[in-house]
Amino acid sequence: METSFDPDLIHAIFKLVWSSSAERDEETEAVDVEVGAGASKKSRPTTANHSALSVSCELLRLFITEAIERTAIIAEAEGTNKIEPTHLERILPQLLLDF
Amino acid sequence: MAASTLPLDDDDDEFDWEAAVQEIENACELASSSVSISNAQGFATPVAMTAPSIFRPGGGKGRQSTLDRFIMDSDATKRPRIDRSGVQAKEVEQNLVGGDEGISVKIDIEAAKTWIYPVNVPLRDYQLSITRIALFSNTLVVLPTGLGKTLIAAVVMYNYFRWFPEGKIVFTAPSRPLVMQQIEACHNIVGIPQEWTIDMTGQVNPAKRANLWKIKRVFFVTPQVLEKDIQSGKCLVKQLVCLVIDEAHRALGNYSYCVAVRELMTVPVQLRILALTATPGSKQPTIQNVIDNLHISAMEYRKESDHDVSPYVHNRKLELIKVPMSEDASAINNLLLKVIQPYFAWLSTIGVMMLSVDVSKLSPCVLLNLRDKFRQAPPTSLPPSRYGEVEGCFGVMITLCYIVKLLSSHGIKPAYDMLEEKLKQVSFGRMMSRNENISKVMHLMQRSLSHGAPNPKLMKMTEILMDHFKKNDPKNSRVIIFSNFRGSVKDIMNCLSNLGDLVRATEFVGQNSDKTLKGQSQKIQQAVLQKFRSGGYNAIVATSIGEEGLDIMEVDLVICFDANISPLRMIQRMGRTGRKHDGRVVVLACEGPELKGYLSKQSSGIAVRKHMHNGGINSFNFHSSPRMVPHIYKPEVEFVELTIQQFIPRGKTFKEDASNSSPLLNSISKEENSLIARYFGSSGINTWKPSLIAFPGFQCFPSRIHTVRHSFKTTAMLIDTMQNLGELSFTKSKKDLVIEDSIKNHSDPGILTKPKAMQDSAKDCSDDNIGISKKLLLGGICDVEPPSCETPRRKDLHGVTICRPHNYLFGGNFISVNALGGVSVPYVPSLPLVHSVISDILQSGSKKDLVSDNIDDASEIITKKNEATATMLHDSLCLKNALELADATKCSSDRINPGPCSPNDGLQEEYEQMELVFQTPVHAQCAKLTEGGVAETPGDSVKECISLMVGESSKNPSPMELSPRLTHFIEEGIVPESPIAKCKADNSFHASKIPEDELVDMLQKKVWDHMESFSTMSHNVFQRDPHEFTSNSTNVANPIGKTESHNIKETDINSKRKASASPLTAEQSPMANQLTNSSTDDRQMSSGANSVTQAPKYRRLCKYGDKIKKLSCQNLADKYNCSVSKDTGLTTLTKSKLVNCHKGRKNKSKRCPGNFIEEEAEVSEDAQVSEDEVDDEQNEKYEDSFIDDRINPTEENTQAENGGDMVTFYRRSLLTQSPMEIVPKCLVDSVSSIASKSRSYSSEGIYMSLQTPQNGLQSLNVSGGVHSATCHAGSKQGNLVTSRSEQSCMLRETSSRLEDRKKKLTFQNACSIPTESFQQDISHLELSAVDFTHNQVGSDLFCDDEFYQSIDLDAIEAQATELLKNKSRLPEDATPALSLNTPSEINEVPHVNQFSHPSFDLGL
Repeated sequence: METSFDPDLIHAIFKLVWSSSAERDEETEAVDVEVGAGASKKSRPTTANHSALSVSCELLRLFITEAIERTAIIAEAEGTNKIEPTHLERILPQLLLDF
Repeated sequence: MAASTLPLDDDDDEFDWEAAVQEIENACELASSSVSISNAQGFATPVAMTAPSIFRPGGGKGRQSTLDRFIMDSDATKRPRIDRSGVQAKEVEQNLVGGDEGISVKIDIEAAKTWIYPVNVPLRDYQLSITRIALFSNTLVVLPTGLGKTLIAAVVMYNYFRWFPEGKIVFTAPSRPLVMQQIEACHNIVGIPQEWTIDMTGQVNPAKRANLWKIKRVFFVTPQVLEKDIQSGKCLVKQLVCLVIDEAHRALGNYSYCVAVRELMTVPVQLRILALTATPGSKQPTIQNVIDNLHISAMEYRKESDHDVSPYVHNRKLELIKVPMSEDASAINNLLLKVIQPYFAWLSTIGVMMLSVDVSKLSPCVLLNLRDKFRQAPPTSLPPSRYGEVEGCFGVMITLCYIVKLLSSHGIKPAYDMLEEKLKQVSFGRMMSRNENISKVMHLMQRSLSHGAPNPKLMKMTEILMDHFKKNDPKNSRVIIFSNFRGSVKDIMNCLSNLGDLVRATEFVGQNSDKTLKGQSQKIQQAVLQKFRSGGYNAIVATSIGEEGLDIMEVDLVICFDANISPLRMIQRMGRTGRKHDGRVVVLACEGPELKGYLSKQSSGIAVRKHMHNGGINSFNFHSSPRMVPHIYKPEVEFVELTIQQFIPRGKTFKEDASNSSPLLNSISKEENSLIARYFGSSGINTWKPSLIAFPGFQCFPSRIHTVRHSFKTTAMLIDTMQNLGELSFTKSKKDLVIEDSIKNHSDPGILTKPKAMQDSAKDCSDDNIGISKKLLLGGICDVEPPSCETPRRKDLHGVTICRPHNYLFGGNFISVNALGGVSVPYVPSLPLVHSVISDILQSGSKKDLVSDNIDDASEIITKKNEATATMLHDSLCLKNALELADATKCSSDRINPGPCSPNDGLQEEYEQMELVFQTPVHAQCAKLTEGGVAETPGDSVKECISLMVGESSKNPSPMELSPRLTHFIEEGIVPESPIAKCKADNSFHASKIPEDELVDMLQKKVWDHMESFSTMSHNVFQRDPHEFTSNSTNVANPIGKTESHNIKETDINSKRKASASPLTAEQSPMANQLTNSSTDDRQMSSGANSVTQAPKYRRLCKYGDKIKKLSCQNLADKYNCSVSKDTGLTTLTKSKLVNCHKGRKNKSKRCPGNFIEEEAEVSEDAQVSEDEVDDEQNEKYEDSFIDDRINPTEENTQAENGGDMVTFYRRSLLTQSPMEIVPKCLVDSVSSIASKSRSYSSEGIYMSLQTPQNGLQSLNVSGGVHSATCHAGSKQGNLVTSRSEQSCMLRETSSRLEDRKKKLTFQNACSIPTESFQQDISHLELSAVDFTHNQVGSDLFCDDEFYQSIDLDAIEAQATELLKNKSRLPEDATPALSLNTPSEINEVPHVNQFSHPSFDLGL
């Protein structure tokens, strides 16, 4: 298999997202904070084990390569060798739906 | 080993729990050991537990010991198995070798032959010798401060790190800042890899620590952590090989150092202990205590005057400054002593206190000792009931003594604070509150404080500080002020804060739970030290926390705010300076008890040193210590220059540590960083986010994929929805086409049937009517095709088998035109014309080979022609021509398409294909002009697209047909775009900026026109076959509304883009336009329309009007080109071709009949024009007629369907687009012969003229804001259309309407022209063209008088309004160079304008 992303990197990104989302949850749910199961569950950070991480890495790799390839097709159709953000915008909706 | 032992366990029937536990416990070590075994380094047993002799069952106590016993038991039981297995033969050796020494951790024999001494830093003999000793025995190193104790420790640690690959090394330092400092210092000295080192303090939670103990090898910990972890068993004590104890003088009593070492010794563990201190103790017994507690076997003592040390000792000037006590303070002091006196006396009487002691010499320390003594052995004379009284007395006296001390050493303020606080306490307050002297003291203190009487010490201190910073650079100099009392730290800080910028001071105090004087957390301490090092602060006011170990090189002044401290601490304080430079120590001593205490303690400190001479052998009892390296090895010193990697300070948390050590983060290059910054700026505000709605057009068809196929969500939901939303018309158009075909069949059965059949076959559509003759026709076509030779290229384009039929059809159509020339009148003329034109341009024999001319050939010819023209004309002109030629090619393709397609529904597909083919040539042209290489990519893309489309069409016969068409359309759009881009590139080469936009616009317009026609078709279809599309939208109005809204959206987008004004964006936008063909044009147009501030309702109409205008402009430009070519003389044909193109455009768009007429007029007028040209013109006319034919059916359909009233908007648009063209179509249809052509030509011309005004009127109305008028016109036109069968009626009506709207037209022109920015470029062309057109108009027989008159009138009326427009145009027209809207030229222009206006109207 091709080399995929560094699981540590992906994990770090995931954790960043989780923590930020957790903070957001706390903000929204700060009103009705309740002690008990809910609180403990909330306090428990989201985790991912190694297999999940490696699979996530692969998925992300596929996603990004596909995005780049499709974008490259658009870019070539325009006769440029450089992928610009607008190229991405053209394929993005379908790409997102495909994944 | 793990590998080896595990199978062994399996072999055993009895499951050995102990062994299993042991293995789990040491999983990591085992794993690593197995590796080392493979290395065959020698001592294989990883954790080879100590020999049985070490195992003492009863020796341990507490959890740790039991655990150890447990482990050892398991190990003992395990060993036999291992031996039995024979795998671990070396372990026996280990046992033999290590037997005498009891070494429990395997040793690296190779490494053990030497020991490394780093020479990165200059060698110091005393360090080397001390290190040598410290390596082989437990050593207490007593070195004056700042002489490199840490280096000794680091070297020792490093060597043990080398010798024992699995050994754990622990470095303990009493505070967290010191730990952090030492880990970095050690790293910088010997560079133990950071992956092996870790610092652990109480902040790391125990669970993590347990893991770290397993995976790391060098630990920098606080003694408390070490103690706790040893007791809890987290620390793998068995593997400890070296323990370094910094600030070892603390190892007294039950301090963690002592506890930890005791625990280790009871295990027991063989390890090397290295104790470091500058001040082992002030008395011989304390030093002995330390030695005992740490199991020291040797002491290395150096004093500053020693010969090997002295060179490295920096001069440290010790100044004792005696500060007199202030009067107030002394008075208070006396009062307080008076307070103490009675208690003292009472205590003395009961025998607890010794009378010999002077009251003034009492210190809290003495009192504490006395109290302890009393508690342990209370005097027998005292009844126990009075013990509490005595205790109370002690408490009061201690407090008062403390206050006295504070008063003398720190001043009134801290003393007052303390007293006040104490009085609030119950016990103290109860006894003191009634005391007169206390109240006096309070009063005196308050008065003194209210005076603001400064503390003499503070005064002196500020004085010294100011002096110091005047002499030394405030940026490089560092000062530490020590105060024993935290309250005075505050005072000092307040005082320093008044000194201004010179002194940037902060406090450095320990943690404290006290709320009033909140301490600093360790984090803050770290930060303070960091800033102090880096220069953020140049002075810190520290309590005792700053006394030990802080290694801050730049400190050159230490001020001891209080002097009466132990000599140890004084030495430590002094040790903070003089580390790199000479240092200075100032001791502020208050006269009186403080000064006396200081002096006495200094003398005692000096006395202690005597004990330590000669390593203290005479004075101290030492303990034996194990030799860690077996005696058989005699490690020799090896001086090595170590390469030390940059120390990466660990972050506050492990998370950050992980991220810091992540190679990914470190490997990000500058470029990547800049990229990240570009799209994900730190601000977060300007971060670029991709838009999902920016290109709705691209969502109407599936994008090319790489490996991941489209999901159901994409294909079935998104794309279909988008198609339904945006291109409903297309789907309908198919069926409409069929209907149209049938209609057309009625009109022109012979001609239409063939193409219809062709298309149907290609489509595999089940059209009952057409289906009959499909195959037959196809066969015929195929036969015809071979001669045409179109196959190769088309094959290339269409790789799919399904595509072939299309190709054939296409070719067949084309061929049919050529070959069937006789058969179908309209087709024949068109193709020959194109070819002939091209050939004429080339002036080669190729031109007359009409039959052999393929589309490819035509394209090639065109390209050649373009090249020729390029050479002929100016560069800019060439570019324009090229663009125009490209347009022309498109037009020609369009023409061709209409010819075959017009009757049939299949027309569109073929038409599209044709366009594609033509476009590819265009690409080629562009490529040739610019670069050959670039051209290929677009062509490929087109091919791919085509293939995809074909495949889709084949797959989805009936429902999906729409999608292929859409895709075709898209492709069309795409194809033109790429050339445009190239054209732009070409243009860029030329200095002229304008042409680019123009070209692009023109191309877009053309595309747009095509799209419009399609859209109209679709509309018609929709109207016609509502039931069929009922699912989509039963009501015609709905789709129209949708389309309109879509257009509006696009227009908005377009306007936005225009605002950006970047041509590139314009290029990109066309892609989006593909979905809604009009969108691209709409953008540009809309921008113009927006400027005019038209009502949103009529935007679409306005757009149309704008488009029309654009077309006219283009036509004018073409004319201009033609004129240029005429001048050159060689390119008359090109002119004609251009004209044809224009015509084609006009026909297609149905909007620019006037231009056509104009062109014709030009041709006729020009004497130079050859007959061929005329023929061409005629041909062109024919072509136009063909186009008209194509358009007509749609219009008919629309008219029939609409009945007029249903969709006014729709009609308007249609009408604006091509109301009158229908008539010419009919005419053309009716007339199949050349003669008839001429007639039709004339009639067309008339109609065209009529139409143009109408169109113009409509557009004018729309743009002008005369909504009512437009509506009226629209309705009238609709009526006219309905009655188109009657040409005469139509003409009359149109003429009348035209007259009515003359004024409107003028307005429109005025409005539209200025609005279109891109027209500027064209404008100069237009001017020239205008002249021609004017002449033409005059000469044109066909031109109706009515029309002409109307134009004239319009021109006259519009002159005023147009003047403004002309301003912009005329300058450009007059001189391209001056095209930049020079007002001066405007005056000149008006004349021309008048002419131009009529011409313009005609064009419209």
